[in-house]
Amino acid sequence: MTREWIHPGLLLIAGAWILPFCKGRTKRAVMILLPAAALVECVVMQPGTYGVVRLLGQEVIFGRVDRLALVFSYVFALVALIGMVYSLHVNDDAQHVAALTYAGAALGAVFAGDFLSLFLFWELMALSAAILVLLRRRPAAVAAGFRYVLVHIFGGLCLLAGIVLHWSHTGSLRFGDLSPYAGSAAFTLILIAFLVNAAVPPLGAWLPDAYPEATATGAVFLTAFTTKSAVYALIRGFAGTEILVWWGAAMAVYGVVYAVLENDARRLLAYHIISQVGYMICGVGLGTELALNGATAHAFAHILYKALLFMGAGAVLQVTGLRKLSDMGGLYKMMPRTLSLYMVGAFAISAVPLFSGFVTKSMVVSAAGESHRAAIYLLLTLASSGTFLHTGLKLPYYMFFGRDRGLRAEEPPRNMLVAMGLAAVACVVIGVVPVVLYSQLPYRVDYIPFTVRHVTATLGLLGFTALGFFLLLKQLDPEPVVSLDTDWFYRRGGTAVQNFAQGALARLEGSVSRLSDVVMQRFVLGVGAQLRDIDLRGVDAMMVGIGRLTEEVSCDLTLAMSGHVQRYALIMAAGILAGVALAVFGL
Amino acid sequence: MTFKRWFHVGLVVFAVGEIAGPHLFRADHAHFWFEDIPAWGSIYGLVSCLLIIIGSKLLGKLWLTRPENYYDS
Amino acid sequence: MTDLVTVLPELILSGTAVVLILVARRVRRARSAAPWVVVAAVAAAFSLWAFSPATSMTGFGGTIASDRYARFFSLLFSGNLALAALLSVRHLDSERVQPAEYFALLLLASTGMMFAVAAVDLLILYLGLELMTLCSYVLVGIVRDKPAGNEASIKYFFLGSFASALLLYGIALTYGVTGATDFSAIASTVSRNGVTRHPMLLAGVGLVSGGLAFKIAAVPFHAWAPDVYQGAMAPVAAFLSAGSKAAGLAAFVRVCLVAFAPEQRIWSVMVVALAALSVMTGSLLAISQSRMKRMLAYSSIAHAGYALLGLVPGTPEGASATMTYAFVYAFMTLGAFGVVIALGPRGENLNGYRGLSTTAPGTAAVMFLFLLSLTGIPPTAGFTAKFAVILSAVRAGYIGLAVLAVLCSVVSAFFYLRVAVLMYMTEPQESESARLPLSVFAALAIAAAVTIVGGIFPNTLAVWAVPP
Repeated sequence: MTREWIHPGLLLIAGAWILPFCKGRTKRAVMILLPAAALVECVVMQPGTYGVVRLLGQEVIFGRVDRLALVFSYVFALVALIGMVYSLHVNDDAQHVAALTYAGAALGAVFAGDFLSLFLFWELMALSAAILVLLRRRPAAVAAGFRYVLVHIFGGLCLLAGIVLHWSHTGSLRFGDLSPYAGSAAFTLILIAFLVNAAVPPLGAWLPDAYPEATATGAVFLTAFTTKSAVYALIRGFAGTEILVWWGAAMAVYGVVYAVLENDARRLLAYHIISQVGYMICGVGLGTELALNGATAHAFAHILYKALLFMGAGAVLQVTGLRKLSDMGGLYKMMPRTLSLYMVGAFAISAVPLFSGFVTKSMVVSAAGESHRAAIYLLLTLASSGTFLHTGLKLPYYMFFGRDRGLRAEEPPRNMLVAMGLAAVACVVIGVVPVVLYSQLPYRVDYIPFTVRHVTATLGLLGFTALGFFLLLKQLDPEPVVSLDTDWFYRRGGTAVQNFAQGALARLEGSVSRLSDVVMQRFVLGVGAQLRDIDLRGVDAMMVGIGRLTEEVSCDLTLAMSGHVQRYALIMAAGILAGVALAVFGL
Repeated sequence: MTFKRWFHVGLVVFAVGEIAGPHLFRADHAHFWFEDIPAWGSIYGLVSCLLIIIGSKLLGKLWLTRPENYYDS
Repeated sequence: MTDLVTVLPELILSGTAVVLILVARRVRRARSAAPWVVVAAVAAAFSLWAFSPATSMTGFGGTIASDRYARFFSLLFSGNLALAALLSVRHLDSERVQPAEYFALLLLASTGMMFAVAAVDLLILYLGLELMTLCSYVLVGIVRDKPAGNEASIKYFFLGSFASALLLYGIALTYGVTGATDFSAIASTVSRNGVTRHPMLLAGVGLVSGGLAFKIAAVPFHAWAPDVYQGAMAPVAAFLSAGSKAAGLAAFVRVCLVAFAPEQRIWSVMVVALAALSVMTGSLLAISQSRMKRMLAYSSIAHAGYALLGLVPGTPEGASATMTYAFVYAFMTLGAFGVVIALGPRGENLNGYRGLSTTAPGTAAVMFLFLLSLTGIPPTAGFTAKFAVILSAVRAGYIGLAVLAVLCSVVSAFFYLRVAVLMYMTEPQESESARLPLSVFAALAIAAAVTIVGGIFPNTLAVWAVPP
């Protein structure tokens, strides 16, 4: 079977360069045709191995096509199409080329059969995504994009180091299950690199940092590819790694906790990405067929409903120019269609029955149940409640309902609504007829999502979460704050310590005064002071941050280059003496 | 007003449905002992929601939140 | 007669140099002399094909070997010469330098490089390197009324003489122990007589390594590089950065692998130390630079370190990786300096690159390509070369060294991509953008082509890079 095989990713990457040369209607047609062609290509593709190239004495496989790769390719191509429809109105060729390159590179990574091609597409993804962030062309976006680049270069070099070590130990570059090598340095390095891209805390602060800074249309692409290709890579290589079970569950809760504090609409959704990816990683760690199916299915559904949610928030951003929840409210009258399409996405992510999240998230949770891991099960269910709390209740309430601030708004351009509609249809179809997705999953599916117990428990969970929401509505009022995350370490220098100390002191007094009991006061003061001391000392020790430290070292070293020839000659002489001494006596 | 009323009605329906459901229809076996508590989903939903809100707000107030311009240098 | 055939490329180049010196008075403008130099370089490169690829010939009493190793580097030096000549045209006219003598010096320096690479005898090696270095001293200070150039030239001269003295002393010690200066004779004498641990010989190895490390600008023999690159004219800096480094690396590899083969344990440790120190120091010092040529000088120190990584295991594959790295690096650096030259006085400072993407998008794109290659990001040639050298370090078991190299690559990403961010994401300061002269455009195109082709088809270089 030697049919001509065109790499769908290459189709997107190369085809994107046609765009700058088209105008008007042709350009819009090309924008839609390219991802559509890629989607068609993926759908008709047969499993097999294609595109093998011999390089440096190894086989580089560009087209390893099996069920796992295919299902991811379907959703990547689909969301690329939806994203392109969403950005039809944008007049910036650079964004379109970057977005298509990004999508093409993700497809490349999914079909990569060996580590070298995987690395190639990994770096291309990081580069094109960073460019997509930078193309917002505002100072905050430029800074966030630069940080994105640095974090991903770090991840990329971890991956390269792991690949090289793996190659030197095994002599093979095939990208497959790495569990036989668990515990080796190569295993750890590659795992770290995949976890960086999956935005796993503490390596994941780049996600909530960069995604809200991108354009309304660019963010839709960003949410889909980097994290999910990392999930694919983890499913492929690290299925069954025990530590991922706990890490994923913690991640699911972490995202939800940070989302409570968030004021920026898209940053809140970004933290939810972290939370949902936590489910997928937990599934990878559990390693059973149901769990891996669940992780894949959840990734599939997540790409679609997350894109829908970001499209909704992006539409609000586009029409009103607002991004902070504390500034919004009362939009439901003027943007009813956006609201209803957004709510489809919100129901999907909250796993309301008859929407896609219900049939996918429950696979992972059930897998935890079948492995009899009660703590994981409880944590994941807690995070489900939190997810509904934010995306299904808090966001729409404060964006569309809430206090009417007399904002002027209208429905966004038609292409944005069409794109949202496409995604919404997909979410509902999967939710109502899950076999459409189940038949594509890598392993055989025996799972039935619509059981009485499951449906009633889910409805109860969601309903009473809503009750809790309304009870504590006052507490949830969004405040104009930012929350500290692990990116503090590379964003802040020594001046942060002053502010931190003063801020911590102020907050301590505030929390103390709230408790009227004298005994409680003394207790809280004591504990708080201890915490502050530890924080200060710990922070002091890491005061400079790695970047500042390197810069200072560099400045110091530069002072040593004085410009005096005699000093240079002295250094040379010292070097020669050391070298000769080493040669003669040392060995 | 009517929204609130419908909301409370819905809550009651869900809770009752959850308690009665496994008895009326053929129920599948539970993985854990706590799943057999009546209205387990509803209770845990309320508890989770309150835990998350209160816990996160506390964490934020004590440690994590900063004014908006914290990172601008 | 056959002896002369072995040095055919060198004859072509030195012949052109002599002709240029003779007609020096007639040559007024650089534009008239430059094409002849390029033609000479191309002719020299073509003459390499006069030899059938498989055989290697020796000449002049077995002191010059024209084997595939020497031909690989001679090809590189021809390219280096041609590109440097193309890049110099604009500067020569503006600095009012006598073009004929300048080009003659370029030709003679290239001749010296080719001799050094083809040498299989320590004295001929010394002769070749000295020819290259003496011409370089003058080239650095060729603009007589620029104080910075004079200072750079004098510094280079002092330190270079010191290094040459060390090299000569090492050669003398080696001769004292083995009674030979021919590489293979040294190796066989040492292993036959079992004098591998003779202190004089070890001292000789150390001194020769030190003298050669000076040419490569490896730490701790690096201090001349920043001042010289900063003070010299940009085309001269480019020529030196590419050619002197490649010649030094080639000589180092041949000396270590052939002449001092029995001493591998010793020079291997020294190479490790040189590589580690160079990579670290070069990367760290480049961060705080705000002048472009100086930053490129420090980065060249780091690249010397990366190239040496290939020599660490002492295997043919490692040597091949070092050869590839030298080749690729030469073109990358010629390209980067080419962009600096293209921008004129604005290109000297980092601030001059602000907003370059709007004023000169083509130049900015080409610079971005070279920056990516210098950092080592696929699919550029810089990535394949760096991958190969790091792999050979890992194979030799020096995992820590490989990790250090990778970490320093991350650090280097900062100062290389800082330029890219300045180019693409900041507002331009001045809107003047003169048109690129044809010669500079051609040089940049050739360098960019090599960088891209080397990245997409890494096997092409690997197949040609045959170790001695």
